Amino acid sequence: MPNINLSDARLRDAVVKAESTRRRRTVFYQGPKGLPAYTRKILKGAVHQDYDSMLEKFKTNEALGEALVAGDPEIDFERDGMFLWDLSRVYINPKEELVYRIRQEEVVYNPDGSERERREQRRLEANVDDEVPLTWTGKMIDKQEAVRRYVFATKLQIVHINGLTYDFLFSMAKELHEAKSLMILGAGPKGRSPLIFRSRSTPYRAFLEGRVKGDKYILLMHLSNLEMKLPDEADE
Amino acid sequence: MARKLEFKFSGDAFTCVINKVDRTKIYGRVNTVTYDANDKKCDLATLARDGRTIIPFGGTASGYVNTEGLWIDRDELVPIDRDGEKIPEVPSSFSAPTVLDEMVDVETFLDHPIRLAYHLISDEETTISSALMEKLKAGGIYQFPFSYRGGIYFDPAFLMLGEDDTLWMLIGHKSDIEYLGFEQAAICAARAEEETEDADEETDAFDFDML
Repeated sequence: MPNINLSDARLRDAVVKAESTRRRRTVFYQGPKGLPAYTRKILKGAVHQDYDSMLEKFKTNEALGEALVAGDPEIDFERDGMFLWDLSRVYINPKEELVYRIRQEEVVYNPDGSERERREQRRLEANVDDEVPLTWTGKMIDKQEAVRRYVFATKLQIVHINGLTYDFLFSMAKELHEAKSLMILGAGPKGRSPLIFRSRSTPYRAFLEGRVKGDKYILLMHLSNLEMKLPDEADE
Repeated sequence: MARKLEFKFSGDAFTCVINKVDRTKIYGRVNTVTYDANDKKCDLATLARDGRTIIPFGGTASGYVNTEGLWIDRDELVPIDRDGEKIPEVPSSFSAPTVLDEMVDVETFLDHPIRLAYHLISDEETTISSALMEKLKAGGIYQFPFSYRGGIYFDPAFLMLGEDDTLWMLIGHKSDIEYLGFEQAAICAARAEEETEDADEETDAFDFDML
């Protein structure tokens, strides 16, 4: 549940919480005789069993082929099929050795698959609980128009953490409820940057929606990184 | 080849070809390439807990086992819910026409996070009824259950027009959104307190006076 530093129309700001709204489905599996079944990750094969290692061992494809017909050199009977846990992600070089120092580069591709540019990896830092609060831009977009223009992939419900923030969020929700619109929310000093919730995570455009019923409220942050439009024909 | 989905609206049937639209098709994509100190391209792999078994991409698999650790074949598995009740299987939405009879308001639509977007093109042999198009042009959104391959549940799906009057099907998730009152702050505070108590218990195990 991330903290969000949010400002309102009067430029008052407060740190509140954003809760995931996704409802998790609970599905279990039963095996034979109604006994519980559990998922396990297993080893299919390590690097010493792959094609490159086998070729290195048998020198030629012909020799490797003969060895495969004659026996099972690609199977490690001691370890294949063993349960795996506590795994780590690592980088290996072309010799399939562990690498301890890496440099990363981003390759940007156009929609048609052609390469646009290569650049040093960008490190996007989280900006939703920054010193500068998320800006109440006041830019409204009608709900009907918004749903026909953007695909909202994620929703976060903004929740209060005490009495003061209840008043703060309720008045925001009321204002948006009366406007019957979504308000564009931005990060950074000018309030134009997309929102980044965790370091190096996907940046999203954010839209705030408010609903009020009696003294209760819903303040929803709709996040989008996709417009509802067709790819250019040339790219399709 | 793009698949075709059949819909029924007030007795009129029509078929649409579905085309998935994602960020890659509209904006392109960014791939991260990793190099070692000698500028040799590196691949991501997995290191087992023994610290020496390196597993390449595709070197692991998942499976189901029983309490004794014995393998269970997929066709022997029965999906159940939290109460132990068997979950009935649902058919693929491509196996029968989808009936459009539930119109929802924009708030209901906004309650659903969308995970997939499909552009729909009416099949050459059928046309979308003018009554349906009229409702869609007026901002109508139709909700229906959808499952691509069939399985253990349907996802909520929506049929609507885009800004440029193109036809879209959006597949979402169910979500938990509720009105919050002032008293919910107490719940939040209680949760926070529980978390703090848990943290305290953990901290108690490491008595800082001992250091």
